[in-house]
Amino acid sequence: MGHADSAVKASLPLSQSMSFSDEQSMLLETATAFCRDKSPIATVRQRMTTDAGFDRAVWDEMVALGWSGMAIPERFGGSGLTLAEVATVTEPIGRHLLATPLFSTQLFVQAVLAGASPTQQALWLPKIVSGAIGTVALFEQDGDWALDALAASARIEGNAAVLAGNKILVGDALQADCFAVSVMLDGAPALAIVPKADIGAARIRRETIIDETRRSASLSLDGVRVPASALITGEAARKALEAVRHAGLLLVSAEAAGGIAGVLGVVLEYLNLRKTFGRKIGSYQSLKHTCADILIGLERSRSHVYHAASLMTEAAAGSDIRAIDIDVALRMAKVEAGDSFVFAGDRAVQFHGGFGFTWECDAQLYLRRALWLQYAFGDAGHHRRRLADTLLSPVG
Amino acid sequence: MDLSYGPEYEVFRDELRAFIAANRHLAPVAGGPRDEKARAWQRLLIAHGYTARTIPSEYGGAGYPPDLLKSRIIAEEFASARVSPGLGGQGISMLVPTLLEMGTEQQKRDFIPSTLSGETVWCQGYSEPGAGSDLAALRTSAVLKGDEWIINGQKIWTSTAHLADWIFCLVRTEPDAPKHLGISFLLFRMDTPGIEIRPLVDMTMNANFNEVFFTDVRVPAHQIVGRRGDGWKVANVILGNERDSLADPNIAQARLNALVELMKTETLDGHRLIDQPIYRDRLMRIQGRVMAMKYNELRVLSSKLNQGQDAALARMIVKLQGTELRHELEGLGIDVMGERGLAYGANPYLQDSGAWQVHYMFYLGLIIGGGTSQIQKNIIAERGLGLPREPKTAGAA
Repeated sequence: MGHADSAVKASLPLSQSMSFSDEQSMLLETATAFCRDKSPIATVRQRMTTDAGFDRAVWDEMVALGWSGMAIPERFGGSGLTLAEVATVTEPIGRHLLATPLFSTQLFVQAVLAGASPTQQALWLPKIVSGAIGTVALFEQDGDWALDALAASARIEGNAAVLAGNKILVGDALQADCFAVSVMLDGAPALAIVPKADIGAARIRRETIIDETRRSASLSLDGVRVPASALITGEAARKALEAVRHAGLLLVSAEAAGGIAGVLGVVLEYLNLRKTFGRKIGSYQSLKHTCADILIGLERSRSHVYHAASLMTEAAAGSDIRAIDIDVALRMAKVEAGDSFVFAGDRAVQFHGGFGFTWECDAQLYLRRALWLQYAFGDAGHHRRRLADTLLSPVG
Repeated sequence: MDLSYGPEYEVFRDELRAFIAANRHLAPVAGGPRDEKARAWQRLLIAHGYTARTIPSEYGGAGYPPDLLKSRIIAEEFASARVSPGLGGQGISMLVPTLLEMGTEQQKRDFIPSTLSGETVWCQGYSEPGAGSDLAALRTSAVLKGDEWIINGQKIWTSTAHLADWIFCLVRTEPDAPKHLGISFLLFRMDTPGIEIRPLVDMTMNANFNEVFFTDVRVPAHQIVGRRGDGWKVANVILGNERDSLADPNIAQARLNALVELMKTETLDGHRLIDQPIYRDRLMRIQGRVMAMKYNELRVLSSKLNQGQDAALARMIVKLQGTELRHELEGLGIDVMGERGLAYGANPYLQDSGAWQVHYMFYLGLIIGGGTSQIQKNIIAERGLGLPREPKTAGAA
């Protein structure tokens, strides 16, 4: 057996605890009931028309439930759990299209946890636990998914760094209290932890994006001053960006898995209602079979997401799990959940006929979210290419 | 609920590995139940509880309590060691579980031990020319005369009928009842007078399945499992088991690894296939699905342990995906060989003994067998998703 054979096998570790713990099962139940209750579809549409895009009272309740501080260690006031629990509540968020800054905030948390100084951690993490909103400013105009290919920069002036450049697709930027901004510093990626006041409202401009249930903005960084102590550099920056990428892949995949379940619900309701040629359209095999395909995509996505989450939990608990295996598991989860949700959303629109093409039809809300999730942190083709580089022999 | 393998399971795995290492020279390379080496291996495995594990010892099994994790460890270890996990076949995988659930005490004693040991080989008499996907439309009749059933009709696609000692067979005993309620489940010897077997050559050019004709075949009345008219219920116990055993992610992974090796030697336009982006992308699509199968399997196991979700439905999804995936994987193997993929049979340019071509076709057979993918999707959509049934056409029972 050759090299690739062993490489492929070695990179398929089985998580030892694939299924939910009792605590996770309870959490899933709680979160599902919460999201259903707080995010009926009429409310989703109402929130889409607001500037903030989400309901602050609902966010306060999520904070009170401990969700914002779930993956924050107890010494900072958090619950000391892991991203697996955050993924558990993210699935129903996706299912019910709940608008929330939880995702942006968790990416900020991961950057700070993985790379920031103890002082910065002690400054920001307790604030997040009590409801502050965080976000990350990573992506730039070229749309590159590589988090270390940056045009934005920082240069040191005495005890401070002065930033330059622009960021796009900064989630919940208009509501965020703090930002983790990636920049090039002395030829290497770095992160600056910046409070909102130091960026200033004038530099933040709302963007229109394909998923109207989310809020996003561009940042102009020119002239933003950050104390040098708020910089994450070198190996710490690399770790922080890796942690953000991992969290992004896991949570986007979990949200997509939930979204498939949600849009399948929308489809099934319509297929059991609408009649053509004297019979319910759900009795036609072409629609039935597609629904079975959507269900299978959902099951596959969940399996990949749960597996990746379990591996990350085991790694966090000190198990001997290679970074490359986590990377493979996360990319696979993203590939499956991303593709499956776009497929489900696309067919959901089609199955509603002419009505499906209208703004009134709820299926399109899911499709637009599916597209957002597909392109966030790398689409399926991108990840398959990276997976091939990891799992097969290098090209050449 | 936690699926952690505790220390108990790690010890179990270590013992099993040691057993395989010490005894693998005794395992048959190929060979069915007629092969004495295969039967001896079967006895050894039963004695150690590595096959027929949960079947009570009074019926010739190993008599261990059900433990899904141990069963899974056994399947994994035999697959990765590429050592025979013991005898299979429709008698062991389908009839034995059915008798355990639906058979009389006498039937269990009469049939289970000899089936497990390989002395009695079974075939399954289900499909008919007019009853495939719509199995309940079967027409082979059995009429009770005195203390005998008189059977007339025809079965088709009957695998190993020409090798089998006995058949478990669905027949119509209540012609006036609704179609699902008029069927009974009979057991009878294949050398009973009035049975004629004609081999059918399948598309791989193998003659493993047959047409079986019954003309006034006389079967003792007590050779029925369940009551008259309960045959559909009895058969459904088996159908679940059949779907369960058709898709093994460990084997799919081994085939995928072989495909990677093949793609390192095959070239197109002077470049190795393994270096070409389109083929790499196709490989990764398949790899993702193999992994999903593996993780799905874990979730099916956990749902069995949980009694949570519909495990039967989950198994149906496993059958559907597993067979489609293998078909696609083997097909990529043919693609990779280019023009040479056209070789077959005794062709001297044949790659890997024709495994890619034969498996590609064979898995198409498995996609059809036990319910085509289209039928599976109907059932998943109706039973699993609650979509309305197809309206009955005029004339349907």
